[in-house]
Amino acid sequence: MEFPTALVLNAIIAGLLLGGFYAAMSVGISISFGMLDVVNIAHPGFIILGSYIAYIVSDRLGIDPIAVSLALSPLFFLLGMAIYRIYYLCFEKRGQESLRGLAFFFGILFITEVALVLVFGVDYRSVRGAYSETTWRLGPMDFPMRLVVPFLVSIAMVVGIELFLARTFFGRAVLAVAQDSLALRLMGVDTLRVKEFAFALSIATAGVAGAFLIVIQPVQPAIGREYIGLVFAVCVLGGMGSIRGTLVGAFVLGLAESFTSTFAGPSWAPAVSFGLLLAALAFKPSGLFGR
Amino acid sequence: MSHSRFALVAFAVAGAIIAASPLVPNDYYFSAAYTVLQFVILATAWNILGGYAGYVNFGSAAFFAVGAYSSVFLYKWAHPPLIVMIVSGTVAAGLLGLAVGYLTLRMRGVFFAIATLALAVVLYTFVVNWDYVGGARGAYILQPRDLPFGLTRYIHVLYAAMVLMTAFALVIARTIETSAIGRGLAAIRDDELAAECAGVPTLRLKVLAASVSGALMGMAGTTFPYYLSYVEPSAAFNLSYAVNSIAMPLIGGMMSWIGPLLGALLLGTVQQVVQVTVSSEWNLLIVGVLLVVFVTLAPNGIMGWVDAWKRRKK
Amino acid sequence: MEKAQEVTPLLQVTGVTKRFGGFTALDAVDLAVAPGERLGLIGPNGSGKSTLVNCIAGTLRNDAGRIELNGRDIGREPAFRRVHLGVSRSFQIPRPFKSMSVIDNLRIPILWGQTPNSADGVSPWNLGSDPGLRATDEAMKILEEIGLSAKCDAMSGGLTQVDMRKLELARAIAAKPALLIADEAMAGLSASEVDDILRLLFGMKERGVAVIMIEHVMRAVMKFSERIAVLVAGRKIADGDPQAVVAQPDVVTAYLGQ
Repeated sequence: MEFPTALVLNAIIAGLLLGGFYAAMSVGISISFGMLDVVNIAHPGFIILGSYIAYIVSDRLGIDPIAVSLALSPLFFLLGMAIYRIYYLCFEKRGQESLRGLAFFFGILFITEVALVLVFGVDYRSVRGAYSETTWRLGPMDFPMRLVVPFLVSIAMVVGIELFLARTFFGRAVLAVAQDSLALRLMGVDTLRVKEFAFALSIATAGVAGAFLIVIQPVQPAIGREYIGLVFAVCVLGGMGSIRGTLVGAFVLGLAESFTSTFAGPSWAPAVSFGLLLAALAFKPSGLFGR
Repeated sequence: MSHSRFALVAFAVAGAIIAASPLVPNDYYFSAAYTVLQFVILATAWNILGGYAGYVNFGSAAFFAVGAYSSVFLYKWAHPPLIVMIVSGTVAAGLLGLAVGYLTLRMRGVFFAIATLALAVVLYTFVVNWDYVGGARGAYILQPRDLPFGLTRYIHVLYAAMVLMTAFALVIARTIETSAIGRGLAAIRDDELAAECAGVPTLRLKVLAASVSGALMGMAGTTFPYYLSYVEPSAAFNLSYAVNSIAMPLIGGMMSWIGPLLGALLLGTVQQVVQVTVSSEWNLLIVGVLLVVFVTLAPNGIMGWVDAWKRRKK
Repeated sequence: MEKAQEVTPLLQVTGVTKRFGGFTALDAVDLAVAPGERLGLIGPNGSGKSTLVNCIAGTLRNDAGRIELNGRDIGREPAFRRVHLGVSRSFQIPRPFKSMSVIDNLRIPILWGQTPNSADGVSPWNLGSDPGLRATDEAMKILEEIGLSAKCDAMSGGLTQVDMRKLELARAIAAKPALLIADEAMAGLSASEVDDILRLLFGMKERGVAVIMIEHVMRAVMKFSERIAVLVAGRKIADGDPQAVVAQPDVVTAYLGQ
């Protein structure tokens, strides 16, 4: 039997391109969950919200959706600040993060989804960018632009965040707060501000990732839930809170899904990310009570 | 009140409720009551792991669907009597709870919660691809024509089964809550490390709670195919089950068996009204908002208010 | 000078090592405790005392070495099973079960912490028995001993510092251990409060319970201990008669205590 070279090559390409995009979707979780220990399972809900906002504005004004989302990211930033404020006041301060915080974010995810259904209905929406129909061909390899453009912007965004965290003062403060917030407080840093900023940043990335999503595939309100497993799988596989780890985890997941989709059918794809997550959680070495 | 006396009272009340069915003039009542009781069982079951032990399960729909789909499977395969379907679905869901619990309860509660979300999606994918039970197209389940006890409508049989199952769930929940096992679960909820160091076998108790919780959630789903007559995955895996099984115990109060009952009766009835007068989307939105409002402002729910008021009177 | 060990030691820790990434918290530590013995464990902050406690109690797994209780290797046993086998510990920062009253806090170790099938032979897994009644007498007895009986129904979250420490110890005692590890139970307490706790710990002698006291309050350690061991930077540097150990030059240099 002839080795399906073209099929395998294209599966790899699609997997890598998707992987870059998955990294953009998950970098926010690496910050909010990996670094701040906030279990924001509503994160995919914000991604979908970003998709829909990019959709409306782009539809009305004819501007490229990714450009729209980048321009509107300050709005998501502010939204993130507001949500963190509430979370902090109601849960973190009282030491109730685990159960109540989870239920809180679940509620937010839920409300976001249902509100979107009420406004937009359950039909799939998609966006046609200027490049959505174009595909570069290189021998047997296909590079669909609708995957390539989001991939490039995703990588730029993730690398940008990594540089910000490693190089700037505020970025380093975020990394420090993840490790030892008491020490930071003793040094006079307003840790609440830092955490709020970091969380807001994570929501901003979600908004932008939403635009990537709707360029890549049609979107409807319920698909947010399907991505919960994916973003947390990437974060866990990537070692929790490491941006570089997030990239690696994202590529692993992208390739796994791409191969599953190509050889077993696309309806099995969600099971891949969740299955990998379950496996990672079940067999991840951990202390007696977690990390 | 001892365990056996409570069980007696519960089943006596159940019997009385069932016996009173002929007095109800409106058939819609049975339909609505079936749905509300479904929620009572789900909320009570969820609370055994969520409220008693403090581990949040986002995948209630998965366990519910296991109950429903095991009934579909049995219907297609051997068409056994209803009681066999109920027991099988309950056991199947319980085994799932055991397996998932054993694999994921050894880690932080947060990871367990995420794993349960994952579970729901994975199971949904499997069911959608399983043609024997209808897959994405769904399956038709015909209600039997011969009815026991001279009843005239099958909905009455389903209603009676639901009332009995509710009583059963409440008895199980209360028995666990007031036993040494319940105390152990509460210790786990308050401080798992301290509980372990006090001699509580935390993993075993958590897995037990997850199995019982899962089993009862599955039990709630076992008669669902007969109720709907047509089952397809999005009905069994309905988002409303996931959010309600969390919202109802939260609003009613998670510390005891009364809370979920109260929350389910209240919220369930409200939803029946809203669904009929407005729409099911608005219905879900209201539940979501109530969930967020209660979790931020009144995390101990209605029974929490009651307890605080009682303590202030002392 | 070590006491001649004619009896099998109750606890035998041999060559226990624990690493956290690149940091070695415990480096081949040996320690033995005889039945009923009162051992003081001292050392500067960060010397590994709490890590050692965690390894003995089972909340951490040691990377190397053996931990034996009555000659039996318990290194693989989960923490709750070690409680059944006779090791009980209190936490440095009290961890009461906040949703429960004081007496309910004690019911937990009574029901679950004592050696299975003890005294009245009813297992906590037996759903039929009423745990409430069975444990009350025993719990009240302990509460009277420690002076908390008047507050038995108070919510444990609202207690004063010293009462919380007492409850923490009471909970450890309620599991009927053969070895009790008291981790800095007296930190930050006043002189009379320290005496209260000391009295409690001395009471363990009548029960035949061995005690490892981890403390910085030197006068309490000197008064209480039959033997003192000193941990510095993960290594045991002294072990023997309290007066002799405290006078050792390396102990004095390493641990400029109170």
